Amino acid sequence: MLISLLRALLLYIIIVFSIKFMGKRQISELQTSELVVTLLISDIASIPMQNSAQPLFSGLIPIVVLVCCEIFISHFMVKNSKFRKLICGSAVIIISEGKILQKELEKLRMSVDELYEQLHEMDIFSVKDVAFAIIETNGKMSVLKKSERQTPDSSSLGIDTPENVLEFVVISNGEINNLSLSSCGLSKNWIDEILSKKKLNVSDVYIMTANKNKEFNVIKKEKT
Amino acid sequence: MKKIGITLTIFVLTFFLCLASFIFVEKTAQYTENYLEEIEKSNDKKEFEMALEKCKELNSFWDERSKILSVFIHHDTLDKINQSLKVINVSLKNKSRIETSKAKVSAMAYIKALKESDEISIENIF
Repeated sequence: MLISLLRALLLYIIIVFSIKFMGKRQISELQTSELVVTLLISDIASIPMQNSAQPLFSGLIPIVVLVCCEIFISHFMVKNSKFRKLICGSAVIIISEGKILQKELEKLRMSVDELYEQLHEMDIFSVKDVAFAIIETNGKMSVLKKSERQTPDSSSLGIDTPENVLEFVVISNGEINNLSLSSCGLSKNWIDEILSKKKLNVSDVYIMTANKNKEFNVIKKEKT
Repeated sequence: MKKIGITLTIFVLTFFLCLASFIFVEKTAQYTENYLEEIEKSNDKKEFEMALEKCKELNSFWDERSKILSVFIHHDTLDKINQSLKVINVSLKNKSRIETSKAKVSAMAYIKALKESDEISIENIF
């Protein structure tokens, strides 16, 4: 049993690193080849994990080969658009100027119900509101609403809005995050100054956020 | 490019690891078969002491190699070979020519299966 535990741990570490090496993606954003590799890896890893008579290498070698192939393929896909098209296919327009392109929908084996379901999820309740709907290579639908149906933003309304400034967590659970601190161009001395004004130590702070305009927010740790 | 370099290195290393394991299995099987043939010859001539000596050599050789083989060969296959080698040893101690011969045949069959399972052939690929 101890062997099973050690094997499971080893495989877990290897799979986590392999998937991290492949790059961060969410399941819904996976391309066809990535999805296949992810499913295969989980399946292959389970065999030597359950059967201790099976050598660990019989599971590891295919995993390494699959990950390598996936990285090679993704590299070539970036370099060569024809190769990318061959592996991933291309995006397909299914609605053009409020009109459903039935032939394209049929080619994708997508029903009208599914199309409407996806439109509803995007708060669109009439095909007439859609200028273009595209099924991307990862299967997700992107929609461009007709200009008269688009939500106006500040620039279209001619309103001046303050510039958005990115906020960083500079102290998290009593620990200073130096990377965040340098990203917003602040120093440890500035934090000490702020905290001394509030009569607080770094260890008393649950979260402190700040931006490059030196605007900050401090949340104290709750006493337990 | 760095990632591709690392991947390529890992891939090449994996390939050579597989190739090394293939050669290792082939060599081990070949040596084991040679030992078994020598044991069989001595057994046929009723030179049991000589055969027993060879068998001991084979067992120590196999014990050493099987530890490495267990890294990439199914453990059941190795256990079967191990068992049949032990039977040969016992049969030789009992000076039973027929039993030794039978055990040798089964050991040879297992070794052949081991070699065939690692062979690059159409049957194995598909």
